[in-house]
Amino acid sequence: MFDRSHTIAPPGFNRWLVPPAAIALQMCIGQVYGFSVFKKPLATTGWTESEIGIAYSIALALLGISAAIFGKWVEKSGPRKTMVASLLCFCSGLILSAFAVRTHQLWLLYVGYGLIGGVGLGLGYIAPVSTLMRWFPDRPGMATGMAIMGFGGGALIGSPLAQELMTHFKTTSTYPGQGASEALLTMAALYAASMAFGAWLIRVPPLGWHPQGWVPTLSPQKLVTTANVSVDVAWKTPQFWLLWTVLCMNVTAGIGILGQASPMIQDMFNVTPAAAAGYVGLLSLCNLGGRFFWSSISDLTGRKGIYFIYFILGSTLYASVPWIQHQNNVTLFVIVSGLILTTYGGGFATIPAYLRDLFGGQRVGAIHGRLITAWSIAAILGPQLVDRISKSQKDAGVDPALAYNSIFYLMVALLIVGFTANLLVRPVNPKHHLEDPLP
Amino acid sequence: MKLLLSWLFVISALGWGVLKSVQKAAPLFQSSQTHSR
Repeated sequence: MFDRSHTIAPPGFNRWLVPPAAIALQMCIGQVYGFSVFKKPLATTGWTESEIGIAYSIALALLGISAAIFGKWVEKSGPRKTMVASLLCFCSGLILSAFAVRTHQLWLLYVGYGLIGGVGLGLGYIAPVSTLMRWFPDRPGMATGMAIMGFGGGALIGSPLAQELMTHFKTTSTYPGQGASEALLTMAALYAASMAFGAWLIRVPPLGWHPQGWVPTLSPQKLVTTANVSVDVAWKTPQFWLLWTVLCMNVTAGIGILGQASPMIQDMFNVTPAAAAGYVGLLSLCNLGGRFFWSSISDLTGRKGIYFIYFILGSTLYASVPWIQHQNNVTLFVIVSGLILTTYGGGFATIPAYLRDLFGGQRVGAIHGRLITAWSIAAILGPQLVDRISKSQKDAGVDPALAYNSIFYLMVALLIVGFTANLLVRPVNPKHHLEDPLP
Repeated sequence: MKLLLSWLFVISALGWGVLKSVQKAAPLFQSSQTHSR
């Protein structure tokens, strides 16, 4: 019942059922972005916050690794089986984490949340992407934007949900961790229900299906192929590594703000911690909105064009931040950093459609899986880079308010690297095209 | 019906998250109006 063959849509199936199926899954696994909410409660058990943070880093690393390793299996097995596998891994990870808290076993937290949960993240992240693009060949950017927006929304849901559950269980819990164990178990149950709903709802289109009234363009655009490239060949092409660089630079630049948002605005504009927390919330909203907005716009501008917009806009805005700070204009700073975060989200959401344009739609899930390693690396190394630069500046006696300027200029440089990589993208050599259609 | 319920489910969940974020962001605007360096 989970095989691809059992999930082929019957005649008359409404393709608009597929985005909510994808979002129902993505908004659960996006909880990983809100993992930091558990740091302080778990630290009361005797673990340090950095020890707890390692579970998050393992999960993100496994996200990239598992997406890269299992990408071909995902394409072969279809979205439903992959979504069920993601459910089993991710929710088992949460359950094991709850037991790790109860038994005070840090290694179990690493194995549960990090290793097993991380595999669930990788599988879930790529599971619905190629299916969505097959259902929406007329608007692939918008389709993947919706799903990847769901992942961004996962942080907005996961963080307050965990907080409310911990508040609820805190007084009655007999275990250490201020109700974290019960919160993790409850979240496992809620997320399992939502992910199962998504897996039940999802369908793949029959071979050769296309939307009524939609005709594939007869004069193909230069950077949009109608052919397909296998994953084993795709990752050896320059185009793959150029897009890998594009994603890696875009993610690292976004993390430049996200990773340091709260201390940064407090140091730069002397706002209260509550206001700084609000700023982080606002950035998450911009990240979410950008995923849908920019990826939908990319259907009109083309993928290469939209990444030019991300890089030009992002680098210009980053370069303007020191001047904004000099003007002591916190409102303008919030607007500018919010805009930067929309391009960060947009970069995530548009990359599957860019891959589809260059490598075709048949193997795009597996190719996307391998490209996700760029995100893993950026997500782990990016915050450390930013953290070290700001710390070294402060240690060198630079005014804390000015200690971030070098980070902003570094981000401009990274975005220029991304711009250059995007500039170099050319159509894939036809010798790499596959001849056999995927059954 | 299935279409309506499925969208209602995901929009409600995301809407709840957005609402919580907006509530969290409120002090920022209060601060930016009243606080100066």
